[in-house]
Amino acid sequence: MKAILSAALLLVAVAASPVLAADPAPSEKPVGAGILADQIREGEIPLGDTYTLEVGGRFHRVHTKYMAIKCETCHAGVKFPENIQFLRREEFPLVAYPGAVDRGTCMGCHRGEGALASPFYGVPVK
Amino acid sequence: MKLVRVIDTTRCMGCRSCVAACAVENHFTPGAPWNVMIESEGGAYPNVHRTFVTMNCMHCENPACKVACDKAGFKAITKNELGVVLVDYDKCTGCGYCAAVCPYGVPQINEKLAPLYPGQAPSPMEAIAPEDRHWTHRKKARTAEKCTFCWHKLEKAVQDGKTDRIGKDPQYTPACDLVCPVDARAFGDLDDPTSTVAKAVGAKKAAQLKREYGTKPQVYYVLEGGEV
Repeated sequence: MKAILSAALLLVAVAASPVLAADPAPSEKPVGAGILADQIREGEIPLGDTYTLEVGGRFHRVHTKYMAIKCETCHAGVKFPENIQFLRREEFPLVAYPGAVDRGTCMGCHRGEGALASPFYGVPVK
Repeated sequence: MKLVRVIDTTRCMGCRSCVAACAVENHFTPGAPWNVMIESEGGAYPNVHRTFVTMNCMHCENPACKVACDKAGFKAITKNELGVVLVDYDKCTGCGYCAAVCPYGVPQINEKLAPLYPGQAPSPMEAIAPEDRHWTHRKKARTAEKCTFCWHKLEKAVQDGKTDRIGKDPQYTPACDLVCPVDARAFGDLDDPTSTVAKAVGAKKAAQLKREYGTKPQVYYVLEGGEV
């Protein structure tokens, strides 16, 4: 009985979830980004095998659709702080526009053990 | 052996000789430079100053680009026996994940193989057939590129059994480190206490950039104001 009830609740939840019901691109902010992150890491959410930074591609889909991160969270205020002695703007390679995001922004989630996202940066586990 | 580069920003005057040397040595393609000069200005009028820093691959001991590439399943980025981080163009799909995760903004996606001088005859370096080039110079469109520490020269040192001459003999030393007119660059074995780089790191307190990322860069900078 308990199993049936759980299954029914799961079905209702899936149907109600804008993220899980119709995969691809949920437009509303999902509930439980941590669970979604785990599901993405474990391959439970199909994202395809095409890795790309193109807008609409895997990278941006994970961050904007599933993690519900707004564009301006990463891209607003993109600048090259003087203290890191970054490139002169007119010399900065075109490939970096407009996506030159301070990696410190990424580290908010990708910082390592216990963080929401995978520690892509090789930050040592404390 | 731990090969490192030391760049003394207190000596660099921004002449870009190293940038030009890299471009010639490594078949520069517009849009995907391997070595760039960064200028920054500081102070307030009339007490102003300008600082020049060249940025190339840091060849990190824990390369974030390799971690990302491996996780994506391409395994196009390797770190070899001399600690040099290299991109295999045949395996690279140009996904850009390496560029996204590198704290130093190093990898560049080469969008197209454009000629150096459009509308003119190819330069002597461009005229070399791909099959006659070192594999790190057989560039492809839509792949990631970056500095190789002039691996074609270091590889020769390995083949000749003269790794002890790296950083001392011009044929075994990266091109950019050979041309600096003010000795702002040095390359060599940090584990050798008699090497220029070991002395520079010890005496001038050269530091790695952005150490908080834990990537352990193999390029050290002598910076105005000391360590960062």
